[in-house]
Parts: sequence; structure tokens; C-alpha cells
Amino acid sequence: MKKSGNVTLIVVLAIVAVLGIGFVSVSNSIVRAEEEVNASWAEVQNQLQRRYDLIPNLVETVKGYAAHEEEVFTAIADARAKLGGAQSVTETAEAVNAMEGALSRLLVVVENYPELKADASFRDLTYELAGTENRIAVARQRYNTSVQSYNVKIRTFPNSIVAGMRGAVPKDMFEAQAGALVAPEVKF
Amino acid sequence: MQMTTLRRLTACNNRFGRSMNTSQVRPWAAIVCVFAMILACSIPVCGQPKVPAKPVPPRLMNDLAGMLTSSEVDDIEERLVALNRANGVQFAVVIVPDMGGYSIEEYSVELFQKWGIGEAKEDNGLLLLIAEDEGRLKFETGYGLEGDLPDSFLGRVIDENLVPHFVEGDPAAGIVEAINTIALRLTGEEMEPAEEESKGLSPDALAAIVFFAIVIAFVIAKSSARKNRSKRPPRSGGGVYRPPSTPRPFSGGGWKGPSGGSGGSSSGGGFGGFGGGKSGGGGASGGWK
Repeated sequence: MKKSGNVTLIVVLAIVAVLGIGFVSVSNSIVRAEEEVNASWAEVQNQLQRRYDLIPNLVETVKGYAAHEEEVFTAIADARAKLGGAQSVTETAEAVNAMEGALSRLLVVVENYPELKADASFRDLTYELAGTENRIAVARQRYNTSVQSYNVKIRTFPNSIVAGMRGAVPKDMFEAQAGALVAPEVKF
Repeated sequence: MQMTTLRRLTACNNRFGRSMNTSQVRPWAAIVCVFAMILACSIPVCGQPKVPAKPVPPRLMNDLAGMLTSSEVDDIEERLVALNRANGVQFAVVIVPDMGGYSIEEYSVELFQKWGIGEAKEDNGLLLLIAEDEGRLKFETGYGLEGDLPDSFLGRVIDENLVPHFVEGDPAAGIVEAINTIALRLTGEEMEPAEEESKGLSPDALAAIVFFAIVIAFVIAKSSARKNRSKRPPRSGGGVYRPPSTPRPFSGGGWKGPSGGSGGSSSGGGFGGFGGGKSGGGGASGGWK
């Protein structure tokens, strides 16, 4: 009797140890995935900020040639304010979509002003804007990939048990609107 | 007692393993497979362009479309290696025949990531991607170079240095001009092919080396018969030694493409290899068609 009691104890201890190690490693891997999501979101924010800072310069340059295109400037200013006040991922995505719509209208307007298109500083700005658009697209895609792998991780068994205990919830993707899926084309 | 415990444990394991094998493993495996497939083919991951593999041995100038002559490729490679030696920047020029329907922005970021251009710590890589059929060009800057090479600067390099020569039908001249403009900005001087270290030696120097190699070969052959057939690395020092029976590698042959590495032993101390640098879509793009 004593022998089998010992054996049971050892088996129970072994199971507890295995479960404990499993819990810790799953928990750590969830933390790592979450940190990756945070880092990639920071990069999205970083690039959005870059565009946010570029826009006043761009607007000023365009105003120098096309001061009467009030409507477009107002739309950009509104979208920019909205972006500045955005808190969550979804709000940011909405503001970004509005901004992209306004920017593409601005670039349509620019088409009517050949002297503006020839302006050296305007050309520099369009390159900076095009590069930034592309950076945003890349950052956004990397963010969505990291969110996806995080969500899959916390929802699959057995990770889902640990995730439930840690109170981990699925994260939002950065969704582009159907109409605004394509970033404003900056090409001259 | 310990032994019995061990035996019981393994027995228990075996029983568990067998029961898993027969009834439970298969459905689980199927579920895992389905998950793996969903993961592998999920929306953002599915749309990755298929980019060419990293060149072996590593090269900075990679003409996969055969757009340039082999001497132009060698000349550009030497300039890029010189720039790499001067300040560590890994500037890769890649010409592809086409991009399989992807945009140059998607293609270049994928290629940059796959090759890992630049040192991992500094992310000091720069890629000039040229797609021949589409007639598109793109600079992709590593994170570490975004400050030194702003998008507007690279945009001007495309407009002023690259596109005019591509339109004229002399892409090599455009690439050389672009390298010089970028090198001037990064190091303060233009990059010439490194004369003394390259294989572009003058005929006199070549003859001298051949002469000395033959003399040395004779001396070695005479002094020790055993070493006659031993294989030495062909580039152990400044002088090039080969056993007299094998033909000399100095055929002047250039680069024959990234996979077919026949002939054309490259100059000593070439490019050491990509270091795993990262990029995030920065740079500028343009087109000539």
C-alpha cells in the first residue's frame, strides 16, 4: 500500500510540474505575441504621425498655387483633427480612411496646376508623402499579421485556457474601408 | 523501487500512446492540418509575392533579367563593394524580369526582408529594385538609412539619374550615376571600382602574376613531390596559385547569373553577405515606360 501511495504521489507531482511548465511557457508565448502586436501598432502610429506632420507643409505648398480650393483644405483639416483625437484602433482606422479620401481629392486638384507640379518643394513633398503612404501600408499589414497570429494563439486550445485565466481578449485588426482600400496614389 | 516506478510510468506512457494512436490522433491531426492551412493562407499572408532566393555566393549587383552586360555588372558590383567598404552600407541592385503581377512596393519590401539587406543591428541596407517588363524602379531604404537618404532625395535620384538613362537605353550608366550620387551623399565622394584589389588588372600586372605563379608552381613542384596534387585554396594570398595541371581561372569571364556559378572567380575580398537588415516600405519609386 505504501509503495503504490508513493507512486501516486510521484505521478501527481510529475503531472503538476508538467502542467506548471506548460502554463508558464504558454503564458510567456502569449505575452510575446502581445508585445509584438504592441510594437507593430507603435510603428503604425509612428508612420501615421509622420504623415500627420507632413500634411501642413503639403497644404501650404498647394495653397501657394491653388488658394481657392477651400473645400479640399477644409476636408483635410477636419480629417487631420479627427486623426489627432482618435483613441482606439477602430477610431484611428476611420480617421485614416477619411484622411486618405481627402488626400486623394487634393491630389486630383493638383492635376489642374502644372506650375505646382513643377515646383521643386512640392515634388519633394509628394515623394515624402508617397514614401510615407507606403510605410503606412507596410506597417498596417505587419500589424494585421501580428494581430492575427496573436488572436489565433489565444483562441486555440490549450492556449485558450491560459488566455482565459490571464483575461487576454482578441485584438482589432486595422481595417481599411472598402472604398479606401487603396492608399491615395501619389504619382506625377 | 525506483526501477518499478520507472517501469510503471513507461508502461502507462505506452498505453496512453497506443490509445492515442488508434482513435484520437487522427482527428486531431486533421484539425491541426486545417488550422495550419488556414494560417498559411490567411488574407494578409496569402498575398506575398514570390521573390528570387538570396544569391550564393552573396552579391550586391544581381541582374536576374540579363539587362546588363557582364562587364557592366562587374563594374557596378565593384562600386557597390567599394561603398560597402567605405561606410558599411549594403546597397543591393536587383534587376528582375517581371514581378508576377505584384506592385513594386509589395515586391521590394518582400525581397528586402527575404534577403535581409543591411546589417541587422544598423539596418543600413538599401535596395534598388528594377523590374524590366513593367518598367518600374524602386529604392527601398532600411530603417537605419531613412535619415541619411530621405524619400525626396531618392525620388530625385530616380527622376534625374536613373530614368533619363533608362529611357535612352543605357541602364548601366543610370545605375552608376545613381550609385555615385548616393555615395557622394553618404561618404562625401564618388565610388570608383577598386583598381588594385579587383580582377580588372592591367595586362602587364596579369602577365607578372602568371609568371610568378608558374615560377612558384615549379619551385613547389620540385621541392616536394608529395604536395604536387594537394589542393590549396586558390586565393590564399596576394598571388594566385593553382596546380600546373589545371587551367588558369583568369579567363576574364564575368558573372554568369546567380545560380550558374561556373567560371569567373571573383576578385579577392568581395562582398561578405547580407546581414539581416529590415525595411518598412520607405524610399521612392518611379518608372521609365
